Amino acid sequence: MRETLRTRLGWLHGWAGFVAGLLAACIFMTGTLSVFDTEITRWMQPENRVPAKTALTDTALDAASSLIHEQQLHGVPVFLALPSVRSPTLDVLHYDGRQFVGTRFDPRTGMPIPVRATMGGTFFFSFHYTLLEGVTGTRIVNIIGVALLVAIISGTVIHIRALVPDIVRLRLSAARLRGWLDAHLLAGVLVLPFTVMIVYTGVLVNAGLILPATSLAHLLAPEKPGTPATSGTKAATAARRPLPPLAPLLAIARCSLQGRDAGFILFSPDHLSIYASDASGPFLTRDHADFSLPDGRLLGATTTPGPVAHAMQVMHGLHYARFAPLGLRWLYFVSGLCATATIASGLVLFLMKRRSRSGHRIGFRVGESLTIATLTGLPISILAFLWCNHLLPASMAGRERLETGCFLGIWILCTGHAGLQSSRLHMNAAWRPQLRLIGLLGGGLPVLDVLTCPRAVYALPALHTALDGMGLLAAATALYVRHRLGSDRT
Amino acid sequence: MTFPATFLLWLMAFSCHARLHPHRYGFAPLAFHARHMAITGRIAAPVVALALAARLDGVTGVLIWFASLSIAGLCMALWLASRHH
Repeated sequence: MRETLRTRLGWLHGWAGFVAGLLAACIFMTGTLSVFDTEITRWMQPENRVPAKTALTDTALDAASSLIHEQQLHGVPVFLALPSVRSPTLDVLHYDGRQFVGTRFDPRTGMPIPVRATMGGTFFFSFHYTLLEGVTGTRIVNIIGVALLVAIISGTVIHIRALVPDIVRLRLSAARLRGWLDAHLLAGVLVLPFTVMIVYTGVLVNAGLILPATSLAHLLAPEKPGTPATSGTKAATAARRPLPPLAPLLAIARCSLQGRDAGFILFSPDHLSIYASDASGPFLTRDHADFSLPDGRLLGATTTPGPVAHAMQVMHGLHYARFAPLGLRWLYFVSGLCATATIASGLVLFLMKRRSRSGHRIGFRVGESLTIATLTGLPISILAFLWCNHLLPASMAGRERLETGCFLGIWILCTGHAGLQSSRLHMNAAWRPQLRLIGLLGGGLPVLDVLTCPRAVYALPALHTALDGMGLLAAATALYVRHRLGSDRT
Repeated sequence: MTFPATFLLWLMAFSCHARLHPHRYGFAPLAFHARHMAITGRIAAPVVALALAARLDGVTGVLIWFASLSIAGLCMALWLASRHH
């Protein structure tokens, strides 16, 4: 390969990787946490101690039906999330403009569970794909995804000669730059299939927001079968009557959806739709069975046929991983951590290579403080968010807004601290205290959990051990890196 | 049980790979017969792992095969690095 091509691709890889990497690290970090978003929500609502695989009773369904009917009369568009292996409660939810809120029912007794208001694990999920900026944020995330694909392809071409021979090469005892480069290449090459898959499917999931051809595709698409039309008077009459028993409808829907379990139920004034569970397979569909109201008569099942639809369904399924059993979910988590480490090591390498030449420049110092804010500031704010959840009084009004405020406030403080230290040209002065703080907050998470929610820890030990373990892992990694920074005399 | 088996097979493949590049990974060069064995192991182990993983549902099997590649590779790299360190 001509050296000029390698040099140009090196420039492209460096700059595209650094600019996109600052946001990509945040997207990957929160995306990795989103693999366990439901579990994080359960950790953040210790009042919910319903064990997994609890059987759903008719009593609970009736209790949920009554609440749904009541909310329908008030004109609130609600849906019913059915219990699953990951979330065993029966949830009557509606969208309040920021997140899904509502009442959780015990699937055994049908009693409402008085859980604390929290942003929960869905906060990380929202951050992952919107950066808390709605549709604009999703567009930015998609553009970053495309830039990341460019960085991955250029990086692979640069490294192609040594890709296979050096696949398990890591020289920790070599010079500092060589060690970081080996770590970057090792993590990058070994998780390359996962990274390409997750970035490509992620871009494809919301491609409609950045591709102008979407409107044309809508024009050419075949018409969807319409929802059964009912006159306004009939719909209003149906909404006033109580809902039919849901258990028999679930059994009929299961047959209509080729034996797949139901995931959630959407309610309209004149009909209800039972949707197949996302966990029923790698094809993430919105197949559903419709029933008329109030008599509960089956109107028909809607499935999406065709190879293009199936291809898109599998892309969604691979990215969201809702079909994945626990073991595969952990593999997604570990691969996500490795991909985050690849981006993080790339950011550090970019700065290290330019420090001697451009270390005094304002642009370099801004880049360095942004890198510190991303790599240590974000984990600190994530941990502060979790601490805030356990420390704020459970019955406090507006506590979910405070959790978000705490997350953003701490992140801004970390960025300010990094900016201040970088402007004084103190190389490790910002890294070290922030890494120490991660060690403190992460290491203290299990202690906080046991002290503030002992009953939840006792009732769901596996879930709490796993999440507290993640805190310990973050702490151990941060303290190890801090130790390496301290012992580094180069 | 699929993941542990594919993980071990990938570990075997990576160890054969490391033995086939003695200068890079700091091993003594292999004899002719042992070199052939290592080449066979490097090819056969991932194929057997794929056959094992394919017994599961298609998508899950492929995901497990790639994930075991990544994790086994990382473990092998850490072991090789600690050996030199």
